[in-house]
Amino acid sequence: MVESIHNVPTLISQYIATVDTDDQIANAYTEQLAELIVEDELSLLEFIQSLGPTLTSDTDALRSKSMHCLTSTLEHLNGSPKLSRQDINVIIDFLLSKLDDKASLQWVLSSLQSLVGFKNFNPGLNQNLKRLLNAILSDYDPKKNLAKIRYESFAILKNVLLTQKDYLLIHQDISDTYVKAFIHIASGEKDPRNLLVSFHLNSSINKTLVFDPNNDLHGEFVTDLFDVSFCYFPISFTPPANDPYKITADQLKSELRSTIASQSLFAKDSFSSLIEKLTSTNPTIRNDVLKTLQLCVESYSNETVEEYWLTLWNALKFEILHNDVSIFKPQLNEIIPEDYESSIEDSDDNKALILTLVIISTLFEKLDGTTKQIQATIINDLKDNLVSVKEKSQQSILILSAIASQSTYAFDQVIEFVFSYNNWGKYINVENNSIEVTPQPQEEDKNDELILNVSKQRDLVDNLGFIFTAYKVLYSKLGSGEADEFAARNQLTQFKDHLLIFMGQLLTASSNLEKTLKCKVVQQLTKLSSLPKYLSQNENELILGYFKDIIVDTIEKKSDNWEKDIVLKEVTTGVINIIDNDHKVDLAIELIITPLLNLLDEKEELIIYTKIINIIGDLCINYRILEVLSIRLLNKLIAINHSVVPIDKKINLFVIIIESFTSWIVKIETNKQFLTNSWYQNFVPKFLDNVFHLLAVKEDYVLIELSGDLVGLIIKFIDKSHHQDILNDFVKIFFTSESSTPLISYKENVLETPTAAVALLNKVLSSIDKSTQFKEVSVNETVDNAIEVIYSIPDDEFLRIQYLQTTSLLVNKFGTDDSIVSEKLSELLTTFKSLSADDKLTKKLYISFETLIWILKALVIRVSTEGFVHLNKLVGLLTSTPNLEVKQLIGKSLMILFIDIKIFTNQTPGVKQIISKVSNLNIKLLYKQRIFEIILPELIKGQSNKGEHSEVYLNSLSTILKNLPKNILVSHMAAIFPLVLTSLSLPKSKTSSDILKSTLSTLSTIIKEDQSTVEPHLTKLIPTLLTLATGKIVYEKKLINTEEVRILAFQNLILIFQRYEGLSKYKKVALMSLVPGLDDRRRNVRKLCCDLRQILYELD
Amino acid sequence: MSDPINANPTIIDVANLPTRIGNNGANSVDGYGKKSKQDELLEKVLSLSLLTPEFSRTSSLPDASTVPDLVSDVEMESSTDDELVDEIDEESLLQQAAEAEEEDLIDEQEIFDLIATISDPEHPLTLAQLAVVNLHDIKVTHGANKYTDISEVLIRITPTITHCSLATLIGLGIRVRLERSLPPRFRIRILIKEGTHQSENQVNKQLNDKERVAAACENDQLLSVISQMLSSCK
Repeated sequence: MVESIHNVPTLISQYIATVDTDDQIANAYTEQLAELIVEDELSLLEFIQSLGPTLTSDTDALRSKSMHCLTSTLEHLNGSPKLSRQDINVIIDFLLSKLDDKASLQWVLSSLQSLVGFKNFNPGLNQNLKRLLNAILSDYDPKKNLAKIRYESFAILKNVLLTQKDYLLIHQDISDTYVKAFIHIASGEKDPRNLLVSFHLNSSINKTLVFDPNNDLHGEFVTDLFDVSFCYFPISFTPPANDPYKITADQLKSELRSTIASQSLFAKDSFSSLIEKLTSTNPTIRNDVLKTLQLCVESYSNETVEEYWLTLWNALKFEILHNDVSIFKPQLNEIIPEDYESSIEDSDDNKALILTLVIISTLFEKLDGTTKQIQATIINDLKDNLVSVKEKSQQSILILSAIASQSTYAFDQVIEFVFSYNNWGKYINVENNSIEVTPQPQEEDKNDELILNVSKQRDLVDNLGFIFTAYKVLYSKLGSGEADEFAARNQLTQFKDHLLIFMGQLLTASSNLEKTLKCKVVQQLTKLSSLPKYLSQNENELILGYFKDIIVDTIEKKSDNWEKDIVLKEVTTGVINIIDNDHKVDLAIELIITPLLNLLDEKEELIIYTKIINIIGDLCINYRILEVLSIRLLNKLIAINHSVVPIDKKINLFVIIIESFTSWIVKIETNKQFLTNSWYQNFVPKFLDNVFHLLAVKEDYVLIELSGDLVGLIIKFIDKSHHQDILNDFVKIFFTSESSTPLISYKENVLETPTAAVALLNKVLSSIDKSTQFKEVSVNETVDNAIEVIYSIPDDEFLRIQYLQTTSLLVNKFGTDDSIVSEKLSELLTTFKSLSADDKLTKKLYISFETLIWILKALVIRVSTEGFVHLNKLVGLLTSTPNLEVKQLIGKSLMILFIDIKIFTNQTPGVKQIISKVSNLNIKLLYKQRIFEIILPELIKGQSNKGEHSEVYLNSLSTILKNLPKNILVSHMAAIFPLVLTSLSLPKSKTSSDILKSTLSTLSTIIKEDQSTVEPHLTKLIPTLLTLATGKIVYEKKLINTEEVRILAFQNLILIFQRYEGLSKYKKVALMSLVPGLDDRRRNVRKLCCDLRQILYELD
Repeated sequence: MSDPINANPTIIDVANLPTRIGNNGANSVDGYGKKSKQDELLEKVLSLSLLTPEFSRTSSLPDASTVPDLVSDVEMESSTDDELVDEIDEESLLQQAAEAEEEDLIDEQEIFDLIATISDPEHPLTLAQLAVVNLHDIKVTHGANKYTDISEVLIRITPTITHCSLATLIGLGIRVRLERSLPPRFRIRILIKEGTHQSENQVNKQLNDKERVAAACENDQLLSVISQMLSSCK
């Protein structure tokens, strides 16, 4: 043998020296030792010899560390075959003799654990395994050792079972000893980590080894194995704060549960003990017990479960029968909610109900062969509860439904039983086929029972619901062939007519005051209709017919608030369900929607008209219906146009229909997008025709606005490829006097005759894809013409602003050459620049300025270079102009650049990745940020100039902030805050409630986002806010701090006192000065004042 | 308080407590008055106009160049004897402007809302949930003139059991809460509802005796219990 380059004794002593301080380094040494052995450079004998002196040392610590070194080396050898059988024999002998050495016991056990796994460990040779197990039994006492040492003993047994399973199975005596050893070490264990191993090992033993129930010794084993696990039940454990093993109560619970369920032979003890624990009042324990029972029923052998099912049934039925079962909802589609495990807390009593039903279902499923007998027993037990509708009926039906949803056989049995004449058959008019003669005296009772009062009718209907649920659950459980078979010949089919007639009668014949009963019937009729392959077309029609009658009756009764009637709501939900789940759309359109549309009479009151439209809207849940409605409503519009009602009413009806219809399109598009290509031909022309027809009589702004919204929306969802044509069409319609396109006829040229219809055009232009261009007409000319129109209508503000928007849109989306508009802007700017301090602005100049700012808006929102050049000039002019009027005008105008108006914003924000691929807005994302960064410094500069017009800048800032997204504001807070402070303390001749409102809301944003900016100014800020909140600031007989201002001031104060520390010095003063606030005229303000005072009182 | 005497009181669900929400406006039909819609649209569009009032047809704002009235802000820290006189003067001056605002009178529901969320000292529940305070047991009487006459709030509380030893503490809690939350013109009277407590008269006396209430509020320990009760106030 080659002399080792390693010095073995050195490695050993280094290990011993470091093992206490640094595991990792120490480990490296034993790793080297193991390597030496593997590479034959060191024999085991030599190694032991080198260890010798320390291994036999008198010092406990040294001996223990030396043993540790041996353990660690063995571990690193990892079962290597380099250790011969003889080697292993020798070490085992040595180790077994060391079991009485307390100091090194942990390592002795750990070494043994490693050795068992060695390739050359032979359990039979020298009776190694037997000796090992016996030694544990006799020489090792778990009660005298610490948890970590006890852990090693479990590890040995675990490893034995893992590696020597086959040997144990062959040698009965050894396996008996093994079980004895396990029971020995597992008894009295308390440490959670060891318990986890113990439970696991216990289950493994039960699953691996076979126990003979007729063998007394084995009987004893089973009892003992059960005892060492069940004695912990129900386990409760709160992990200590610094638990290194991170063991949770759930782990322990589920491990214990599976242990109890791992051995069918446990049944005789487990079921009775568990049922006994079910009497606990603590829901967590009861749920634990039930979950364990459930696992037992699932895992125990069929024979065992069959033996004990009656015991279980007798115990479990009371869980359901004697409890309130209102958590089970008859209108749902399942009896046992799929996610009950996670969605209901273990501490919830209701979970016990669900778990019980789960167990009963599992029992039933498991014992398929014997179900007939079981079913008979169960039915027999519940019989009394179902003779009439009474207290325990619902509970019984729940159990029966749970069973019925398990198999077709069970289902039929349950149905036959429930609907037999003696039970509920009599209520739904099933013929009495029973030949048995009922004794006379009881006859009277029967008659009494036959008549149900309303609350019993309600219960009965609910209970029927559970049966229907069982049908649904069972159907979805079956394979497709089976399901068809089931649908064709289940017992429920023969009661179909009875059920429909019974519920139909309840619906139509019972008093209108019995709203809950009717709702319940509606729920169950809906459910019947949703049962797969149950009802025929005719029967579905019947149900929808009932529903229609309810809707129509409710509407025609015209009581107050009929739209809030709960039966009506239930019907609506029902119809939606029927349409949504079962594609019975055509039926619903024919039977529900058409009659509703027929009720829309133009002579009807507006309010009722609206309510009916809203019901239709609720039912409009898919494209099919929407399309039908588009045609029908268009016809309505035509009818309204030709009717004799006054013009105002016509307009109102148009507005109602158009507004609702627009919202339905948005609803469907948000849900599931569709293209509106065909609508452009089929809907838009007729629609516009009708709208123009009405507008010719009376120009109504709202109607124009809403029609524009609708047409714009439709255009937006037309495929992008058609957009150029659409643009051409509309340019022709509106910008030329040519009387018409083939599609739409509109005679006016909006550029020659100012008309409000231009608002509609704006919506259309806004919705058209930005890649389109003006073809036959020049954009620049159009813009010029539009501006001319603007000058021509100085007195019609509404119209002027519409045309300003048109101009802006044209420049923004269709402008091809910015230099032309740029020239225009320069010209205008020069005019304003040349004005001296004394010049008075004419109206024309104001209008010119409006044109300027709207064109500028068109440029800056698409971040055009020209736009920024002019913006810079404009803000420059703001500070430099000597003319106060111009200064005020510019200050006021800046908000136009920030404001979001409809034509420049996305009107369908819920729709992502629009299906038509249209991109209609020509707006850059960050434009607000960029222009704000240009404007803000000028405002700050202007305001701090000590000029007397600082309020112009503050006013301007406040209108901008109103339209500025928060994220932009956040990055400029430090710069804005001083302006906020100045704004709040402006003299009242210069302030206004608008300035205060926007300043205060800015302030609250700043406080929320960045407290450090505000903190140094609190001394000044708090009194100012207190004055605003509780004082009365009046200027020219107008209240400046209006309710809104006071509320904002209070909200800021509350924020401040909640967010900042060390404000107790203000407590007394603030409380005093808040007293007037308690008597504020507005309740909302008083409330905030009380809240603030409560916060102040809690300060210390 | 470690051993609750009445461990099993009837509890009212929070959702079933009386509330102001839903009572207002429930009857007003949301009519499609197009007038308002039209106004709304006009207002929105016209807010974009840059014309000054003198050029604008629609605006009726007062001219900005008139001389302001000489009216000063409310004095915040006046505590002199003639405070009352001052305030009345000021009020009369300001009244005109303030009158423009509609007044919500302090009513029973408002009082109920103030005290409903006080916690019971021995249950983790509020007084309203335990039906210690009930809306119909609250009575607000307004003085003829808000600024000169005294107004009164009368509350009858129903202890959960007739020998409830904490009735006085609950009463005191309510009193403190109301004194902190109501304007000083209100006199607060708290009575035990007839026939709901063994020593009704004693408790009533104790609760409405100024001296004894003041003395109780000097007691730090008592005050901290009350703070605890009030900390759940919303």
